Amino acid sequence: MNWYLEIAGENSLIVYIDSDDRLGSNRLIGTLINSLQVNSTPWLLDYIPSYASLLLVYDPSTTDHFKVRELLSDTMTQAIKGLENNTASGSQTRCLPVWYGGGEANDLARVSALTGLSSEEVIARHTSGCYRVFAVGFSPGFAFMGDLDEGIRVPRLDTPRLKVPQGAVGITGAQTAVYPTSSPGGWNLIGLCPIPLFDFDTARSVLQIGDEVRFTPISEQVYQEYLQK
Amino acid sequence: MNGATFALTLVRSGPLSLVVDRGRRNLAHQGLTSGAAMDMTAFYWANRLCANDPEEACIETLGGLEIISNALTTLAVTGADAEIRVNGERKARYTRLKIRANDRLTVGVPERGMRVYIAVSGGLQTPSQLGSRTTVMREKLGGLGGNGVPLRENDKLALIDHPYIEGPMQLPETERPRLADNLLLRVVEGYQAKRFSALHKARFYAGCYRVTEKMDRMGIRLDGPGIPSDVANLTSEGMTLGAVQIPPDGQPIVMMSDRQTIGGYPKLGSVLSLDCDRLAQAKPQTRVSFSPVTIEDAHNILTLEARRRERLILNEKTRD
Repeated sequence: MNWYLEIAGENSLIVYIDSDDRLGSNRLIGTLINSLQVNSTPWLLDYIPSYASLLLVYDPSTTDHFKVRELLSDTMTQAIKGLENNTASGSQTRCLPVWYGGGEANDLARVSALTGLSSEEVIARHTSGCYRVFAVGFSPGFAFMGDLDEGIRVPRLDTPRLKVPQGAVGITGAQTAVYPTSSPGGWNLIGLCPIPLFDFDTARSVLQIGDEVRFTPISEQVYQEYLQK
Repeated sequence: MNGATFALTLVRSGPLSLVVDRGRRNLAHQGLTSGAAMDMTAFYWANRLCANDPEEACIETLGGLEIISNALTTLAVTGADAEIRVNGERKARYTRLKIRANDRLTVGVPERGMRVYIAVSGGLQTPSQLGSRTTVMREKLGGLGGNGVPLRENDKLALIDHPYIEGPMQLPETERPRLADNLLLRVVEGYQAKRFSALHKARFYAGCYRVTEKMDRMGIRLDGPGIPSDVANLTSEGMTLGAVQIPPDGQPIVMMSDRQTIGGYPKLGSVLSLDCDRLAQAKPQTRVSFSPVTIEDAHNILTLEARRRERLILNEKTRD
């Protein structure tokens, strides 16, 4: 698999995977993070994996881009080998309950109108998918998942909402996600998920890159029961 | 433990006052932003003047602030050019101030610059969350209540018992950061820079931009010659401090302390952190232009500035 390095800033480098294979690229990023031992590298201040890239922020008082570049190149070679050997990366399968059509902020009717599918069919296609977490970011615990059934791919809202409710399930293009906290957002909302997606005590997102996620429909009553727990 | 014994009380909080420090680190991969002080240079000097560790929590304010201390302590005010008074008497910025019990500090609205930093001896003792006390409103983290709420009237900020420290007290005027009406921001080229045409890059570096009203702790939107992006269908990727995003309208946005961790607009590179500090002080209409700098030069600039700060000797203050 082809890859290349670019400078990102005065103390950061970014690795890009140059491939049309979205799944393979994202797997390689996961393998690269494991190989880098990100938790025991003192010069590493921050790292941000995404779909097909990994940004590394280093401490310029203890290292420089020449050293980090060399280390990254070596590790990348190992990671590609690791991927070929199909090394497991400890990803999990999650099932998230969703009250489809729930909440006042809801675009299910818009999605129906855009796709020509009934609401029931939109929901059926959303729940039929098994989605991969490609990236975590934008806000704490926000997991970019894909790919959606081609029949329910719709563009962003023309005007983003100033306030998307906590737990809102959104879709746009090939992507789906759950808003972990109330925030602005431009995705089409189709339901509400009652599961908290960020643990502020451990600073950990429930969904991690490489995880597999399925959605199951629940009633409003079951949704309310989850919230009581 | 009685953290409330020594405290600063806010009589007036101003339009936006936040507890800030160096920000949250090593959590960007979970989607958490940094939330560091916007002007880290002014933040550094505020702490240094109080003989603090360089990263103790301070107040970052847009001015209009009034504070009463209930104890003897040391305080320093840096950053934007706001009028500072203690019990009505005019005081200098970048100077160690001796604050006695019941003294009243007022910080006016800055005439030049945007953000004022107030450090206190030992640092503010607000709750530390995920390794930082810094306030991020969007993430509901940090601040006095640990819920991302900015400082309000009657808030009591706990201090540690740290009496006034004698010693050098003033940053020489020649060494202070300048608040300019024209900013030249140095950019380390990167990300998609190679995919922008030479013509469009030349347009970017020759252009004169202005800071717009659309500016906050997340990012600062500029207005000037539009840069066609030459990059289609970019996948979202990690964002650094100072990243220069080129959205479809071609008007650059410089990403600041509270930026989202990943984004999908093409980027030309990143503004040097030291220049982000200067940009953090720029009011709307400030003129901004860019010049490219190599990563080697950027590294040298950072190292030289760190050595300069280490070697710099504070003046003995001539008047209080």
